[in-house]
Amino acid sequence: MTVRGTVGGIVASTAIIIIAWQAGQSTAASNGLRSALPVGSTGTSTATTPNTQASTPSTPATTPAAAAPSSTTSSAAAQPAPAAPSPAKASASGTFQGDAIQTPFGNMQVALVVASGKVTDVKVLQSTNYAQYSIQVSSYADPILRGEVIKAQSAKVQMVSGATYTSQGYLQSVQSALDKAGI
Amino acid sequence: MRWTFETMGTVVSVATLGAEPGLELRGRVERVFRDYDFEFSRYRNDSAISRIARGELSLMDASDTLRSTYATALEWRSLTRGAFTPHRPDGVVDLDGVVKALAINDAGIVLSDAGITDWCLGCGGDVLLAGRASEEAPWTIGVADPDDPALLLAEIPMNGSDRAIATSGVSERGEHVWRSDAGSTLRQVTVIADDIVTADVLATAILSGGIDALEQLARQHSVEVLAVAGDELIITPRLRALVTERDVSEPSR
Repeated sequence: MTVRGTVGGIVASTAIIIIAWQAGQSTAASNGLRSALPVGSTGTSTATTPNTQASTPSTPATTPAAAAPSSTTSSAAAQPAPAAPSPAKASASGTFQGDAIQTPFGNMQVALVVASGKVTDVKVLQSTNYAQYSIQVSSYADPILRGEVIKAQSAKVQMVSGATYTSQGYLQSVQSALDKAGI
Repeated sequence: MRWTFETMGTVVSVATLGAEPGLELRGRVERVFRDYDFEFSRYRNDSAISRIARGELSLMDASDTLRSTYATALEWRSLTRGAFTPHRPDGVVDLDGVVKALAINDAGIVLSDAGITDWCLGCGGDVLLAGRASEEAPWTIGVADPDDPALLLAEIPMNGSDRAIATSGVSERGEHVWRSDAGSTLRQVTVIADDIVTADVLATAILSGGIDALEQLARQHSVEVLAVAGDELIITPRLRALVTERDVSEPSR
């Protein structure tokens, strides 16, 4: 589940990838993936409308894909993801190819490139026109904790950037202290 | 050296390396802000923008400066897909979002044209700079902590070509930014860019548009962003390398 959580965190709302990942894993419900996302996760889609359109038809498409592992006549399965049979470890590395799934817009298939448990790339092997809008490899900006930022010392700065302060708010600001000190 | 003056309902601070600029030059810098304020302040009844709001003056009859400012704002509305807009929800034209930045930009040109090579100008939380703080150090800008005005969230050494830094937040002046994404959890957004208009507009647009806007606009405009979402920070890779000690493994863009 660690890897699954990480993968979910990175691809987040990219519905198509979650569906394809489901096809490979066959166990995690998309709701489960979403609830595992860290708060403030920045995996996002840049094009809301196409993403919505793409995720709507994906619901029926999951049915055959999710059923594939229990079925002996899997129609959609290409190469099963190597990580699927056993719980993946956080340090997993390699390329994991998802099953091809059918959607009303055409076949969808992706491969995840994983390095030390972190998805570094998503390769689109087969895609629909809609999918091209909604796939985003990883978020550009990362969430970090405040503690990761080097403690800022006002003595080292010459000016302060902050939300627009009024003349009154200025009096309580670090900027005001800097100006008084005349540094 | 440094001098400060009040304008546009806030305070401008100018720091320069070496001798303080003379009275005449200081007067010219201050006049840049006063001229913009005279034309664009919504808080002055006699400003052109107030007369437009009351329907006494049409945009067609307004000054070239006002019309080109409005055009700049509309251009940014398109670039941000509406996350930034020069119109209040009630339809009144509100150019505050670009006016302060344009004034800062023009004041910077006055300083540079006067032969001052190392200066740093702050106006109500927006900062534009040129050159260095000293021979040894770059200008270093603190980012205010939205939870405590007496503290800083981060300090950013302004190396390289980036000259402008702007922050938008919901902590001061209440919720003055009209949010285009009601689900936005961003409380404060700082943008570093080559120019102050881009930094200011994008900070407002990202605060308004939320994380989706952050992802999209940061990439599209090649700017660095530090945002506060709840108790968490969201940061772009290059900026992260500047303000944290952690090894950054993300590929550079």
